[in-house]
Amino acid sequence: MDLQELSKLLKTQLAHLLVSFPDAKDVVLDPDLMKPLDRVAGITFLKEHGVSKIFKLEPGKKSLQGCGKRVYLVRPRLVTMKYIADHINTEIAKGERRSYKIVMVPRKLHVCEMILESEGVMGHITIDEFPLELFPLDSDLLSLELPEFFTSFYLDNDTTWLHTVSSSLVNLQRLFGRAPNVYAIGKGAKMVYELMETMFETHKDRKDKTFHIGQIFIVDRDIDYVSLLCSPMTYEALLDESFGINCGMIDFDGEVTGDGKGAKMLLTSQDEIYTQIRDCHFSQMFSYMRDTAKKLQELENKKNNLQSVGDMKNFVGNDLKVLKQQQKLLTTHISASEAILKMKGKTDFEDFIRAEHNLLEGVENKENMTYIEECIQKQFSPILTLRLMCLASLTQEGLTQREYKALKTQFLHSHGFEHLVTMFRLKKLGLLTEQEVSQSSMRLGTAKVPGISVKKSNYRALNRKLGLVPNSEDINLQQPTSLSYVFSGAYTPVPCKLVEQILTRDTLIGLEDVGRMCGGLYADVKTKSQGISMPGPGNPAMKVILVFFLGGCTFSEITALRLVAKLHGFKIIVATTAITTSSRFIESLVEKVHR
Amino acid sequence: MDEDYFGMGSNRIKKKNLFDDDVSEDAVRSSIKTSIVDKDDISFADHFDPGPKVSESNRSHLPKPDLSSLATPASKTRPTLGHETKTLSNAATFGGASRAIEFGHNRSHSLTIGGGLSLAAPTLPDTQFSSSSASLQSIDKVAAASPHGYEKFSASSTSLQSIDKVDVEKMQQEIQSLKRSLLGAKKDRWMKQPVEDTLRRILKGEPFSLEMYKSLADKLALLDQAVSLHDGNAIMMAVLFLQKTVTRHIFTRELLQRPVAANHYLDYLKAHFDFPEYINTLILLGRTEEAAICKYQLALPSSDVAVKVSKLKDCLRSHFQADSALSNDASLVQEYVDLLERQRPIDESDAGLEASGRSALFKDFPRKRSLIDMPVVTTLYYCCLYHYDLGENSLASPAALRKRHQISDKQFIWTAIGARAKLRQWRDVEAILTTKGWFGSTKLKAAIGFDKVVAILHRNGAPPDILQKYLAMIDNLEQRLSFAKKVSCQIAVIDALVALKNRAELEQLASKLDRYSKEGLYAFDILNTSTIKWK
Repeated sequence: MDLQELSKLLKTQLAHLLVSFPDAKDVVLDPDLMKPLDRVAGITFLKEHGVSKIFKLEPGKKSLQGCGKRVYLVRPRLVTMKYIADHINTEIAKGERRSYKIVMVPRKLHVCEMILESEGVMGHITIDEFPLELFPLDSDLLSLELPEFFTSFYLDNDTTWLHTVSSSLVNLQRLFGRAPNVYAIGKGAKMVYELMETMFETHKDRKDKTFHIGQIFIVDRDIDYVSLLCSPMTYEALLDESFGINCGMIDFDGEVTGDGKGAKMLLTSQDEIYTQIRDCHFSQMFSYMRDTAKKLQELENKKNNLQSVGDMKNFVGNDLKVLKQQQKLLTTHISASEAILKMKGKTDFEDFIRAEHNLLEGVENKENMTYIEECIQKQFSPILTLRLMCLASLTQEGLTQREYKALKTQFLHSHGFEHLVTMFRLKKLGLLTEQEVSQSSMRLGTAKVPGISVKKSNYRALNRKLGLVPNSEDINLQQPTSLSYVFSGAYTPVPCKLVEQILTRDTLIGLEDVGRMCGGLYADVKTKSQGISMPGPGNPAMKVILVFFLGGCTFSEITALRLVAKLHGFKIIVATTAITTSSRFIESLVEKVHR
Repeated sequence: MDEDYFGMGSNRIKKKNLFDDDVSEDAVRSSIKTSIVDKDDISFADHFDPGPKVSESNRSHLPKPDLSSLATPASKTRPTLGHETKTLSNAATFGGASRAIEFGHNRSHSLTIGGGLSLAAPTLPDTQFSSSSASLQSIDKVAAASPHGYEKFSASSTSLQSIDKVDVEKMQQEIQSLKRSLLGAKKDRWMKQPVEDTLRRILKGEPFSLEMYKSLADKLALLDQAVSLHDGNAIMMAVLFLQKTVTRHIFTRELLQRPVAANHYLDYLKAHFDFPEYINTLILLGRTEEAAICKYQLALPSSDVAVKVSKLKDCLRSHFQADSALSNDASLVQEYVDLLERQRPIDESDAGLEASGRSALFKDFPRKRSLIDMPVVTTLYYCCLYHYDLGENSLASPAALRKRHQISDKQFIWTAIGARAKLRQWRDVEAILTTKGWFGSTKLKAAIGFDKVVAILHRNGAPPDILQKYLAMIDNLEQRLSFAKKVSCQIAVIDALVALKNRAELEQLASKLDRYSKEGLYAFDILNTSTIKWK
């Protein structure tokens, strides 16, 4: 199976969409869709299908120039609809005649149509959908590129995007066959599974029963926030944290490229060197790169031993090109690594990591608190400080009331009172909470406290059951066998660990407690895949596994799953609502005030 | 690939090719049928620009239409039509039918059934239901949900010229069968569909109608089943339908029993910037903390301090102080108000002073930005920088600020040392770190640890003799040595090596030093002393 099929399909759909609105037209793009569309189709593709100008949808612009036909390609949001309605109304008032088409991605929402109706533009527009759901970022990676899924579903309890996830899974299985086994871990995952089943009911079944994906795991983000907050230690995750990888594209600044101009680079398995090092622990990077440099040097030395004209022709024709290209790539990766080291040097990374690892291990509690206070008092990066505060709360299953109050007050003093809102959000998600005092719960009796129901952290019990923090000090970072290597052996991401456990044990027996702590573990197993980890006959498709992260995952987790695949001989495809980092994650919850 | 994968997409393509020569009649018929079954398309044409351009071009490009043959079937259907819709007045029915005949004049229109009928359709509701504007509105709404009609029409009108070849008789039959299905569809349109069917349509993004769910039980069934589907779009639609069609009292009552629905309603209100209703609903749901936070959040963006303060006070009174569970947050909001009220006069007078150019301090260390709305700690730094010596009863006094916000010793030391070191006021630094012991003795003490003190001083460019003084206060010798090296204070390194009795390293160091520099002399002096017991 080739995930690029998805891209091809999307391209066809987009082409139909554009052709069905004939003649030359302008396209107004939602900024959020720029990168995804770039990956799926590209500007030339749009131009080939009658698009003359491409605008970026910007708030505050009351009207746009352009030709007599315009297509809006946007996410279905109320504000966006308002902007569009403003455009249309202003342009009509100016006497401009134009036909408009609004394409909502991935689907139209009732509330959006309502806004367009109440703004009085319905007579002037047509509405359509472009089901840009999962699209490939790499040969083993699919994304919806919908970062707002997290806040929308987990913070605001809005289920609107569940439909998109379910529908993307349905469409994926229409393409690659219906997977016999589905596991849902967590509450949201169960909902997605149920909605997916409903969708299958309303469509007629494929006659073809073959399938290319044997098992699907749907995993809720809220089963493991700890892994989201840990400092990344592998190359790809570090690149994302330091520079930001957007739809597989990375933007290096002039310092890294060395020419002062900076460069964009596509990071996929097409880049041979990158494939080798993306999952490397950072401490192993330089030795690997040294080896590669040596190899390249040997290749280059060949030019001194060229015996015949044929050799020379061969060298110039083949080797030289590869050599030049590889050299360039290697140089970029080396300078990127150096830049990462330099950035880490600016913050007191060692102390920070020590505190983080102590928190995960549950030791040196007093020192950890002192360190966090110190971070606050010296007005150290608020994002990094919040990360440690949340880790402290999660690993201790809530801070004591005194600690909570002290940290909160000091944080507000250091970084501004607007963070009262930030603190509330973190509490609502269960990321930064105070332990319940038995006295107050007695006073309230059994009556449920109205208001937010805080999700309790189960760190200690989960850790005990799954062995998330390995005991042995010596984790092999070079030839890793433990998933925890992605965090230098300090922690194992729960989703990855659970996937490994279920796949290798092939049973859920013994995981009941873990399932309960994760908000439910549900399995729909149609094919018993006994001994799939053993060689022999059996359907090879059962070894192809899709893991879908609801609410985003990090490259650390993707790397851990790649290790699961490698250790046990699976092919694992990761699908996610978005790829995130601990900083982006915290940032999405931080209240920002323009000063 | 599965045929059905495209869903609506594949239909659309079919429609577009309707009038291509190579499309078989059967295909045309079936696709026309399917398109007409989409009953809601009927009034869609209502919504698009009547487009004189289109009809004109039709007229000019097409041969004169065959009037008589097409008029017949339309008039034939007239009695049936009247029969089917008994409640309608005869005249209205006639109007509708005759309109259809009128369109029959133009062959192209009667042939492009999908488009032609949908053009005729809006006249029906116009004449027939002019009394019930409510249902009309809902037609609009439903029609709005089906975008395909327009597209279909524009596509078909572009390929009109190829129609001539089609047999007229067949077209008549076609018209009749389509009229029948249209009537059937019209009838269905006014029948209540099972809730499951409607929800399935919503789930698939197909046109649907909610208006026939008149009973409260139906409305709630719609809502509850939408909730059990887990589709936010459907839930939102059911919630808003309920909200529009029942009294506020009933709506609230039912919402309170359905937390999932309530969450979606809240999300809608938030996205709609309807914050008064958002906050009200939260309070009704007993989620007072969220209500308070929302109100607080709304006060934050105000750029005018006076406005902001009054908004914060309002929010404090009506929300934070009204709930005893929020007392912690209430005191924080109160602190915020006090901070803003303190910053305003300080900022005003300092800005004036700086502009006047009379103050040397502001000239040497110009203010980077207004003090307004800076965090407490930043304000403390500011006050330590510019107003260090003010008495405690002055607004800008660091001590007063410290007292009001109960700033901890550690925090005060971090900030005050930084500010005084920036001004190179080493005496003040020493005074901050000096504590009085018993019997009037004094000693240096740093709650944050002297290693941190040294780091702050070094960052602010403190000279070696100052650094040396505080390096000497680091108790842990190894640490003292490493810090001395870090801030490259040679005298302190030498002292630390002596304290560690590490002669080997000292000799090594001395060999690197300039023999006659201050440090060099110091090092060799020590190496030559015989009283030290080396390791």
